[in-house]
Amino acid sequence: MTAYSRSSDAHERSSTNGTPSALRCEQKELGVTPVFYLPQWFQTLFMYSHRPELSARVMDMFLVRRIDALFRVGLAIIQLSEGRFPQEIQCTAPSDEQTTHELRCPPADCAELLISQELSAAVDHLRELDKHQLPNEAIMNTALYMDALPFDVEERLEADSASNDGYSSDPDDKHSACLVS
Amino acid sequence: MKGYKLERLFPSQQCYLGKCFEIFDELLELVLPRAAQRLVR
Repeated sequence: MTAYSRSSDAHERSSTNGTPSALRCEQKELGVTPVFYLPQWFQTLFMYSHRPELSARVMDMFLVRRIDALFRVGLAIIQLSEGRFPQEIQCTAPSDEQTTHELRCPPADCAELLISQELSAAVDHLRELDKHQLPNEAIMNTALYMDALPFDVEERLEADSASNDGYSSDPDDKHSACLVS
Repeated sequence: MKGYKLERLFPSQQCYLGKCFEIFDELLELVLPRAAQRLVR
């Protein structure tokens, strides 16, 4: 078993080193999942950002590395966003005074509203690359020189498709038929 | 060429994207702590 073969193992080790992925923790606390920002990134191949140079470089990488490129660029953006989450949307423990006040006079749906605003701000932050000016070079260099991904994304997709769905819309396609059999 | 092979393996684009989300989430768990560790070194 490799050092990074289990997610819980990796997470545990990073925590013990005092270097947990702060942004990941914040995302989890806020309820931000890839569902909120990934469609925009993947469905447009990062072209939504109106940064032609970045789009061209992502496309270039996509032609060489295929779907792996999208995951790498996405991970690079998340990695570079580390520590850049605006202070106002970070999850901070409320002070005793604040908690006492809220317990005394809890406004209706206040907590729910606050969470949804934080969630919304967090998602906006991740979506709007232009807003926090991640340089193209930094994104691409991080994506390119990132360690090898722990598994082959395309192979995983094929395996999941074969094991779960067994679906192929083209029965004549020999490759697909082989994968789903 | 009738399309990208992965697209043909999934019943819909939503299903395909859904699987991508799962994989990306898993990669976040695996890759981010590793990158943070490397920065510390």
